[in-house]
Amino acid sequence: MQELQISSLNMKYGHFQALHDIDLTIQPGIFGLLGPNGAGKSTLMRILTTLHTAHSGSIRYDNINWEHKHAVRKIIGYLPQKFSLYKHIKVKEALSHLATLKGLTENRDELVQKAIAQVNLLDVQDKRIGQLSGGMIRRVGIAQAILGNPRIIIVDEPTAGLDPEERIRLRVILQTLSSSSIVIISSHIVEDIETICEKAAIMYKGKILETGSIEDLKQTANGVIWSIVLEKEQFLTSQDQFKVIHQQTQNGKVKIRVMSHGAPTETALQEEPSLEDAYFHFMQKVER
Amino acid sequence: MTSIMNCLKIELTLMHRSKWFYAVVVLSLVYFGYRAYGEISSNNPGEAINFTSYVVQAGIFLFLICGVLLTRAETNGDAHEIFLTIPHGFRNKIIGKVLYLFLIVLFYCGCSFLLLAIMYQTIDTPAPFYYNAFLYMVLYWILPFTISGVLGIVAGVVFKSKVVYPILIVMGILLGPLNTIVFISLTRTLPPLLGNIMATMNLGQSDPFRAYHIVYGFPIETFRWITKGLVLIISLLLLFLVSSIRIRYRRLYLAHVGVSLSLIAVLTMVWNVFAPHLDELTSKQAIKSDNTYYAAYNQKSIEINESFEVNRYIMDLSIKNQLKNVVTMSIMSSRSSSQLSFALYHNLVVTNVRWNNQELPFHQEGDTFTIRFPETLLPSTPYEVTVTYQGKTPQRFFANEQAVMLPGYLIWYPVPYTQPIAEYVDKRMVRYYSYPFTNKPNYELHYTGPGKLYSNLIEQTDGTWTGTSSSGITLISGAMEKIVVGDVEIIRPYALYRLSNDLTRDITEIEKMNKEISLLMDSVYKPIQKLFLLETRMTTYTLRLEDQLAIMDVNIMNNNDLSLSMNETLIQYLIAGNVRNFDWERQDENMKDLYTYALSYWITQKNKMMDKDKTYLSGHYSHTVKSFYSDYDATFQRLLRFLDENGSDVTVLKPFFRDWLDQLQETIKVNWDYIEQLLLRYERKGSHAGTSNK
Repeated sequence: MQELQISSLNMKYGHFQALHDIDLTIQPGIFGLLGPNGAGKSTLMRILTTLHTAHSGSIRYDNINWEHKHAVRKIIGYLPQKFSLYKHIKVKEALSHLATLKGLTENRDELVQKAIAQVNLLDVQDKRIGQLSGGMIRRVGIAQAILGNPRIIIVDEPTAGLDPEERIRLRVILQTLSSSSIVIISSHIVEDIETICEKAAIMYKGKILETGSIEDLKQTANGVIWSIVLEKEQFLTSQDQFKVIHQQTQNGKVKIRVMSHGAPTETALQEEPSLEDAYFHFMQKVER
Repeated sequence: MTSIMNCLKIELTLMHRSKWFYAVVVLSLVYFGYRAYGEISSNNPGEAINFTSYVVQAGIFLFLICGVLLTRAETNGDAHEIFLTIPHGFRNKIIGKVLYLFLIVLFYCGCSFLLLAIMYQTIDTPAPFYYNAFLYMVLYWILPFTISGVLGIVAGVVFKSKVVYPILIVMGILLGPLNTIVFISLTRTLPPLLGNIMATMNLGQSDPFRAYHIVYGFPIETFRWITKGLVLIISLLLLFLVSSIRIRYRRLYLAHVGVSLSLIAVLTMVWNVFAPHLDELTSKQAIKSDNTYYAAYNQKSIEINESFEVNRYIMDLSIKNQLKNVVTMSIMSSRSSSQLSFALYHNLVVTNVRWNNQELPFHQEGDTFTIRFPETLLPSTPYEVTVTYQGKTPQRFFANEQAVMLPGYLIWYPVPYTQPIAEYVDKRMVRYYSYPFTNKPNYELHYTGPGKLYSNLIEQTDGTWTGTSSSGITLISGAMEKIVVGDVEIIRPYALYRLSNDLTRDITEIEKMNKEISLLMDSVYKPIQKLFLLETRMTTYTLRLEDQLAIMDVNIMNNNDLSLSMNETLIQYLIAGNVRNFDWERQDENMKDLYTYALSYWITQKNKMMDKDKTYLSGHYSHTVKSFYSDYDATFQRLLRFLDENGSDVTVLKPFFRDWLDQLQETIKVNWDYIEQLLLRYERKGSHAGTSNK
């Protein structure tokens, strides 16, 4: 399978530079875009979906250049963040409609059934969209995105607002899809990216801070992540001394995870960094 | 195509599953049916869609909102982004929505038309009404609703926030009949250029208060079709522009929308310049425009001294958006003169005057134009002069591509200028005067214009109209038909299809009464060979008896069985029709009424037609005397007594009325003192006659 190549991509909204010389190579599999609000993830996603046009730079996949939007639209599937569709239309009807719009007129019903099965919505295919839960609607969104087996699937904040069970279900579906397509996910939920993606890029203020495999990204915070177990009173009085990433109550005590270039206390234990640790580490660096 | 049809299918499915759709359709149909039935049950099929100007305005608002809501179906979430990322997805959705909109417009208008047709059927409405109501609905319902829906989609695509709704209100006002009303109320008066632009943008009727004129029919002229067709094309173009800009040039979206709107504004302005802008010919405003002109027009500044006759007119008349006539006149002067003045309605502008193959200088001012000849015209010598003129006739008497109503008493071709052709009476009325031909000119008319034409001239096999008349040419074309009753041709609006169930009886009685009145008044009997029933909206004495023809003012209220049956009002019309001349017209209205009421009183009593207390004179006019002329109540009572006492004595009353009429046809104004003197003179004669009879 081919790679998606993004080179020197720039985008401005008036005088505001939303993307700044973005260079990325995305290989088949699931790729995550991680960053705080305003980092430029959505702008990049919108350029990838052809909703926006970059001011400069190029995007290529196989022989397809993003300047030819019509050709690009034939190979992408897109799930926007706030997906919803006609409330009075049944799931099957909605997907059939989108399949027709995508030009999938041959075996349309079969393709729709396959997509519905892939997202585990067979039981509700004859229900109106207005009767579905938020998670189910999101799965309908995934189903429409995968109609026609697009080579690139772009998913914006796939798990935002979903309950844990639905979140896990969606992660599984996305992982399944990555076997045959490039799946690009943007999220500010680090856990999503860490769980689903093989590779990711961390974005901040329109720039790529780091890109690589999830393991490589984690390693950027190697040696700076510590855990300390404190008494509750001790934690309350001393928490300002540490850069706490995470805290957990255990047997009446508080276990905190902190970022530090040396051992913050004598009892501190060095920890293996997670993607969240690495993400905080990057944010610390750029905000310093 | 499959995609577009699928988009349409989705929209139809959504519509079908919306409880509101059917509720709105049913409620609006019930309202339409209720209002239309009210008019139809009054035998007024034309007015059955009169009130629809308000339906059009409401529909414009409704379909604008509908257009926006159609776009909101996807933009409430981010679903529209999915369609934007599907090849041709957004375009196909938009086309699907436009088709859907068109279908629901067709559905709603189709249901309304069906309802109307069923109601028409119940009162045996003539066939032309079905066709014309259909055209009206296409022009004033289907096209405006479709355009509004398309513009609603445009607004929905351009404006994502709730700001779209106040914008819709402004759009709705600009696009509907409200536009002129709102702008007039804002500016007190509407400048002509702005007025024309408003008329072009108005998708509804120019005059929301009156749609149907029984001669003109519905206002469905070609230019209105062109205008609405153009607006539809512009709307679709705008939709194409904003949706393709949205897909391709998001970065400068609003700038592109602005440029597109400017282009469209330029297109509209260009059409605005070339459009004929026929005003609403049936409206009160139209009538008001002549009133305004004549209220300000100073007739006294024009010298009246002509002494020539026109013996023959050869006209090449062409009527399209306006009237154009090339008329060759054979003239003969009774004295030497090097210039002649003609009367011609002021909006008909003379462009060329030719005499002996040379162009002559002329001067046109108001309702007259004067030709200056290069040599003195000798008396009793025939000369030929050709005048070319064109322009718009008074809106009350229209002449355009749809209909013609040029009665003989309107000076729409040049006649010797001996009297004003029209004068302001009051804010409701301008009075038009016939030209009193002393000769009977020959006419030869070559006519190009809307057919079928009805005239007092006779159509020849080669299409030329010829004839002689001392009362001018009457040309009528429009929603009219001819029926023949005995020797009389009746040219009537087909809207008056229930005019009478025994026309033969009515026409015979009218002719009989006409003859009797002529005898009693000692006037020349003019048998009616052609009766034109026209809606001129003149307010008094609405019958004119001309050479072999009568023109009677009617309105839709005459669409009942009793309209032409003999009654006192009709007698009064016949009296006034017989006596009409320039000086009579200028007499005090109450004095004219007194004469016609008195004469009709005598006739009704003589013929034992009605109880005298129910006559106009003793029943109605006595109240007028008590209210306004209480000093003359005794005189009035004397008049009544005199008429009662001498009712059977033609030798007394015939000269009495003759003298009275002679005075009314003089320039000196008749008043109550004159009536007293006249009574005094004839009471003596009556008593002498009574004594001698005894």
